Amino acid sequence: MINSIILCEGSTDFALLQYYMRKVNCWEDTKAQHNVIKFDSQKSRLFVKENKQLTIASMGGCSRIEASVGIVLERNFNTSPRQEDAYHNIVILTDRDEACTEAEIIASVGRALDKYEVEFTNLCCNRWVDCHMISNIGANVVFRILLLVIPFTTEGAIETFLLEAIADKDEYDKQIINQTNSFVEQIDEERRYLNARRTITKAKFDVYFSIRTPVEQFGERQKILINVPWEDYPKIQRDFRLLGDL
Amino acid sequence: MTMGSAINPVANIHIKHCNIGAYKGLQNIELRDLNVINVLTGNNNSGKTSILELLETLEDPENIYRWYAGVRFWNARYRSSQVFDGIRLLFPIDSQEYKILYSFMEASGDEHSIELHADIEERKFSSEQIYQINKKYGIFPDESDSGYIIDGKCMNLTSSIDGKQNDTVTIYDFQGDLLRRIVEKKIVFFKTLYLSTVAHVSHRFSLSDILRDAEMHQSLVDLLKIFDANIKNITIINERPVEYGFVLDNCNEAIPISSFGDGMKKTIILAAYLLQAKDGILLVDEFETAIHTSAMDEVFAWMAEAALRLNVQIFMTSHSEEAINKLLRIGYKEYINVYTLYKHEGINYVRRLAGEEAIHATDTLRLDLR
Repeated sequence: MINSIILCEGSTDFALLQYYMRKVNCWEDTKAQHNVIKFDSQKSRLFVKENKQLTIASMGGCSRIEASVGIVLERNFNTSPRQEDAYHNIVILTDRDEACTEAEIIASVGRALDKYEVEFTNLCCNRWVDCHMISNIGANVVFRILLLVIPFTTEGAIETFLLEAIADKDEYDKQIINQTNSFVEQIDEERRYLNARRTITKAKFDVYFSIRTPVEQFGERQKILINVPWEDYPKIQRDFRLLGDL
Repeated sequence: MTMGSAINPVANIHIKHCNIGAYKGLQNIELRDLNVINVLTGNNNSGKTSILELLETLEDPENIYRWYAGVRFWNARYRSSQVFDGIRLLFPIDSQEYKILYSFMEASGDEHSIELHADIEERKFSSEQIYQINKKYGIFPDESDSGYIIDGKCMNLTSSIDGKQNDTVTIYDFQGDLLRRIVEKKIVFFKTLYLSTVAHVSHRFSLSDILRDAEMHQSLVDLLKIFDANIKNITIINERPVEYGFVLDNCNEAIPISSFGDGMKKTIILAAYLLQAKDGILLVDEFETAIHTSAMDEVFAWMAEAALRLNVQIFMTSHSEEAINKLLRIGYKEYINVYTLYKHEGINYVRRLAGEEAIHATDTLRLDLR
């Protein structure tokens, strides 16, 4: 049994990855969710395909990368001799932006690996890195890590794509989106709060949805996400290509 | 519950580390940094009960009859089984040499090694010789079976402690069922008591120590109220054979313990053995057997507290994820270690987790401790 885990930053990525891995890479949901690793109050879910298992788990932000990777490695450290509960493929998916630079991400993951004396060569982004460590019982645990760091651009953000996809389908929604976007661009003139591209993009997304789904936002958003043709989105296809290796 | 002594958990840890070189299917296993309560878990046939058997010999490794206590047939521990094959099967089957080896470190830092060697030779015996040998062990075969020469085997067993050999004892493959009772009981290292999975079913246990200890008696009665709130007292109903019973609030006569459920009997026998194991080591096979989930928190907490106050170090086996998780959460996790035994591709492994680590492994890492 090959076990993989994808660590993503938040709930939007979590929802997107679920649908993408199911729709594009044919992973299936399973009822057996009892041994799924979970970080604090974040979400996680287990999927299966052939004799493989995949956990998708949100970390709660890029500042939680080191702690989250640490927990995954701790599980590998405490695995049984058959290693059926170890993670053989670990993917960390994050956006690179002003808040979290590529160098900081690499350093965070590096610190987590060092804590468990993991041996690896050349930790870098967007390439599988082979690793091995000695477990609690003295066995050699072999695994690989992929830091999938997606450069953040306003045009390429998930939130932007989603709003564009919705606008394309419905003229009425398009009007609302145009107006909410303008509102967000103008309202914080001093840029006291919306002072980064990512926060502006997220604000546009949240403002539109606070109108579209004022009650039970998450459930409604999930429904909208289901109907987006992710496989047609070239940027996502490009960025997530390596996830097909799982 | 006060039960006299103050808690001194360091004193409870009679053995700090144990290395098993070879015993039955176990090879090169290390139990390090032992605690007051040590849970041994793992799949069937991973060696959990074998470790308990081996630790039982700590009381007197010089005495071959102590090793014989590890002989089991059909998963029950019979003292009346054939001696020769039983002892032969204590030795690793995949080795040319008949050798059992283990070592341990005491709390003081003193280290000891224990070995048991066997040489097996084939010999011819006359029926008269066989008669004399069996007579020595209390078996009286038919005297008319005389005048024969029979092929047999003998096993010369020699134990040694810290390299010093003891007298050799010889066992024969025609040896009768019964062994002489252990007449001379001495403690070389620590008093050890073994409590089997089904001991509570046999009804053959003594509560005399509990009845003599007023504090322990009352404490146990208070605990047993979780099973039956009417229990007032434990008493002797009959002297010979000895039979114990409960005095109840709502009944004029004492009711035999045998009339009550297995959970109560298991709790009582656990208490009795804890008291008997005072200042020593208690070995419990499948500690949670017969105890309902609703009673586990109280029983386990009582057991942990009693062990601490009676200066008992406990080793116990379990298959139950529920029981282990409850044990870890009764408020004594700093005194508990969990050792998971594995056998993979012929090699034995042990994973040690201290109490807090075990809870983390379950709650956060979502690992099965077994």
